[in-house]
Amino acid sequence: MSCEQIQALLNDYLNKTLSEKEELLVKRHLEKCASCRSEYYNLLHADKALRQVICEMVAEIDVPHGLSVNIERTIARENRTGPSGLVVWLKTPLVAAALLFVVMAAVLGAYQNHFNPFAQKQVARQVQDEERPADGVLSQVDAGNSTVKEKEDAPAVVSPSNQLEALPDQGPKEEEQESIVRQQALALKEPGERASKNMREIQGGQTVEPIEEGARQELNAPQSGEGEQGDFFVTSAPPAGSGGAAAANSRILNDEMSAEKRDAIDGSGLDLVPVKPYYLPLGAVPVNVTSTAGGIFQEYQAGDRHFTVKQTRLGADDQELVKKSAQVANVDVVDINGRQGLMEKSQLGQDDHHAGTVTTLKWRQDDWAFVVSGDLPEEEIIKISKSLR
Amino acid sequence: MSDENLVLLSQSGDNEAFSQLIQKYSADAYRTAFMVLRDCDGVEDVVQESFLTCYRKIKSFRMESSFKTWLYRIVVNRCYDRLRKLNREKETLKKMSLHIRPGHEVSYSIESKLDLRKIVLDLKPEHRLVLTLYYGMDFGVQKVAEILDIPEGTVKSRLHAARNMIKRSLVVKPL
Repeated sequence: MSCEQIQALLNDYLNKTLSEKEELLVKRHLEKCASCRSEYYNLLHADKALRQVICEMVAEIDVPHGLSVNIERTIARENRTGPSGLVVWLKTPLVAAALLFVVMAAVLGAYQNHFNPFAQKQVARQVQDEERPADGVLSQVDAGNSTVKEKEDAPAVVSPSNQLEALPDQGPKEEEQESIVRQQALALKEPGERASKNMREIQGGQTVEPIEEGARQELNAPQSGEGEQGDFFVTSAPPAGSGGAAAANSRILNDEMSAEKRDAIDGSGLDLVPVKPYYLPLGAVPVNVTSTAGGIFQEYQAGDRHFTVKQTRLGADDQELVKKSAQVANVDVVDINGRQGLMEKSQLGQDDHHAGTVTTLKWRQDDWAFVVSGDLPEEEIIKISKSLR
Repeated sequence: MSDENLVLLSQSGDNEAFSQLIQKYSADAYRTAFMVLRDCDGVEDVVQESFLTCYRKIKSFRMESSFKTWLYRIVVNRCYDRLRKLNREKETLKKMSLHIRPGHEVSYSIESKLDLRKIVLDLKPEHRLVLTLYYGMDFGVQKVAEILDIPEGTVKSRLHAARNMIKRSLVVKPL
């Protein structure tokens, strides 16, 4: 073997990766060849120096005190918590799907209860209903001949709570079912079919529940022909808890609404902008605003007194109405910002809870008819009327 | 008790046996990781993660290699993960080189251990790892290749290159 071949094997000789035969050949060659022996010693010296340096560097490394204990603690923590088992369990598709379903159901339930506009609307109606329970009671007293039919028609007119009780398989704690029931209740309250049904059956005065938003809108909508007079007078009644209101409503309900009228109302736009009274009596606050097909009905309350502001689109019959009204006794002509207003007073019956004088001021402006009415002094009614913008 | 018996006991759920493996190898595992990562923080984390991996996978360990080799493979891989994570390798590639700059070759003296250390420290981490395992942990070429999952020829060439580099830096005295 030549020196070049031997020197090529010197690193492997140091690594001890040569075969026994190759190792023996190298060993014998080094014994004879000074040049190769010198090369070998150079490599051996470098190898020893390298080993020494590496070993010193490794030995100088400070192993943290308690390293093995820390490792054991980490593993013990792993055993206690057992995340691997939990992870495996959670990774099971069926379990994951079930968890996802539960979460989605919870989110949906929360949405239905807190964010669903239908549910919110229904809740608002419930609140409104609870705030004015006396209205229906008083109306029932007034309307003596309507009670039986009303009860038969209970599903259409009962309060939401009654409907909840009436529905089968209702779990009180099942929020989803509750929200569904609410929507069903909402569907039952569709104004087109429910209110008309009630009004046809009711003769000479009827319960008008405040929660019946659809019915209220229809009742307050401007009417032409026969219903017009009653429609105007409804605004002259204090809104809630009042015998006057019941009487006024009775007059309206006598004028049975035709299906054509209701269709016309339901199909009309509600893009009206309500006028705003820039003068309000002390303590007066708006309590209700009802937008209908052709007008807007605003109710205000100032202590135990009420007044209403009604604006409606002016039709051909309205002018005739104004003329007719002018011929009625106790009607005064009042100037309302350059327009001729007709003011009349009506005395509420002694049986009413709020017996007193109701002042009604009507005038028309451009294509609108305005009616401000309430149990306020006539000066207040005039001030309010003049301040409408 | 031999490593093989400790592993068998660990596989049967004997945590005490695994604790003995920890006590036996944790310090060297730490030193090896430190030699690779050097001033990098988190060497202990690397070692803990390595033993945790061993513990989790001990039941599937078929003892085709020794436990020590298996453990070091895991430690080395964790070191590489750490290097990649910290993007330190890119930085060290710039400043570390297997080759010494020509002007420095003649300036090393035989006694200058600091210079030798500097050579070692200036090596790429994977080259330094070969030297650490071979010289510091006394693994043979074959084991080093197995641990690093590289061919034996690569291990030999790295050892050869390191010796030649040191040889050039030393003033050799004939024996």
